[in-house]
Amino acid sequence: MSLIELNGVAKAYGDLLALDDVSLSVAAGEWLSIMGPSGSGKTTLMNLIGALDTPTAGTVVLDGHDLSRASARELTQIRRQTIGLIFQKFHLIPQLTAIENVMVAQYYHSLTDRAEAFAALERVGLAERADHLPRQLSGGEQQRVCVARALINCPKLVLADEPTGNLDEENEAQVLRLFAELHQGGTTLIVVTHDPAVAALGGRTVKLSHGRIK
Amino acid sequence: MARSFFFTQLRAAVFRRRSRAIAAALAVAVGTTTLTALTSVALDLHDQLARQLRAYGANLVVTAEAGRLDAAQVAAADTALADAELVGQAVYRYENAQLNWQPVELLATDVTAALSVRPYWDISGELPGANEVLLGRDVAELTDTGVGDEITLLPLDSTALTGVPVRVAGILVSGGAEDAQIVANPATAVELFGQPDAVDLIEYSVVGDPQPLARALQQQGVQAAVVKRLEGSQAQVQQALGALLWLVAALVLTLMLLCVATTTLALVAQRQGEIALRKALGASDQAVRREILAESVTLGVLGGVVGAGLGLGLAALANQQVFGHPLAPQWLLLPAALVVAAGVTAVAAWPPVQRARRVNPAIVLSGE
Repeated sequence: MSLIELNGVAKAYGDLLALDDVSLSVAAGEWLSIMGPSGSGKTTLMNLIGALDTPTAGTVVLDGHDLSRASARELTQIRRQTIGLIFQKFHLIPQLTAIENVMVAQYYHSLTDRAEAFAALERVGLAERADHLPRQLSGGEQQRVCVARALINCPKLVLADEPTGNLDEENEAQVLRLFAELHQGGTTLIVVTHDPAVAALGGRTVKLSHGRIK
Repeated sequence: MARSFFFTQLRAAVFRRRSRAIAAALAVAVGTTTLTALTSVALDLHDQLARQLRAYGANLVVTAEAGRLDAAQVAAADTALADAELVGQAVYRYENAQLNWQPVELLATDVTAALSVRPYWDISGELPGANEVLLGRDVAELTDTGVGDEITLLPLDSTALTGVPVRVAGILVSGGAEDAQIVANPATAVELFGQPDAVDLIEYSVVGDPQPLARALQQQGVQAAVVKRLEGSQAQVQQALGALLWLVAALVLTLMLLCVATTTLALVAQRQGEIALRKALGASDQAVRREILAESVTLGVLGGVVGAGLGLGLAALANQQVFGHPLAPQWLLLPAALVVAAGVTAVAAWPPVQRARRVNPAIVLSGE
């Protein structure tokens, strides 16, 4: 059963066509890797699947919701309930501690639960760093907080945009091990990456070039 | 739990980003300090000016309908003004005397009391004690008499060869009729002229409008005149100064608004990534608006607390320096200043809130 269905999706920014007639189906529980050179439309595709943007043409259906026709409020609601986001630049809130950064996702989703947030940090091996601010954490640790934040609401879909792009080998392995655990747990994973080794961990790889799937 | 986490985030935004928070709170504090100080001075302006202008003379003068005031009228006048706020009060008795066989007007009064309503009296020497007088400058020059000299006073119609010897304690310059008079203590006047209860004139320096008091005194069968020129001047000066103070206050308020709006706008611009992330995590526009407003108002209130306290202190200091009189702290200004500070920051935060609403997480978070 498909969790995501894209049909004839195009996205234009003025005269620039970032995505052109993209059709794609992602099954629930699948680990999909997306590869492509810079400017190929990977991030645009992630934004559309992640309910952060709407297509200029075509339809994007996520978990039964047609995102192309959804209002801004509905898109917010879908992001909150269905998606966990992991970024290359981590995007942690600098004035909040690690555990508070995780709790932010709970806060907008439903209710905050410190014990649950602590358990999520424990799962990514950061229990002892729970009360540290992002500036007191290494890049790898910040990315693991980002992963914990993405997982805290048990989303059906985890979108990771270059999740290992800023990590050393050891931290990369740690994050990928977490992804494998998630995948085994039935979470759908879409990972954008430049790294063929990372892409190879997924069950399927989609390559984008000039806004089209090759 | 959600509410508690809202405050956790608010506390973190205010206290863990101190440098940015201080910049915003400082703008509010400076504005609130100025506003509180100006308002404090403006609110007390009436009383302060009244005190200051009272220093230039009495504003209520009481005389008899005809002849002298009798003891009953003096008592009635005192009763009529029992509840009035008085800066000063003095009783005068005028007699015709002779000095060196020359006629001279003698003004009998308690000089200390007279100085409270005639502070412009310039006395060289000392205040007169028992058997001492002040000589008006003209009299002193005419008789070639100076401080420390002994003179002899007689009633004008007396043919006696010996009078009452008195010592000249000081020379009086007033620029008015007193320059040609001898000012003596009431006891000296009684020794010369008898009639211990004789009073010709009472001067009062009253805070506030003396008109109702004048009417009350007239009902006691005495003549009461209001010194209108002084009252008019006070009203004009007070109106002009008050308008100026409020104008400056309005300007400060506008500047504070602009300053806080600019600072908050800069804060929102710096935090675009954070706002985009919150939206990506599912924050609604209302939630983002609530968070920015709460943060701004909290900084406004913190700045307001500091500013209001400093403002009251500054007002007290300025008042002491300018008017030479302490200013009673107007504690009600504290909550008022906090409300103004919170209101200004809420209004000033509106443009940044609108800007935050337009933050597109797809663009900001992708970094493209």
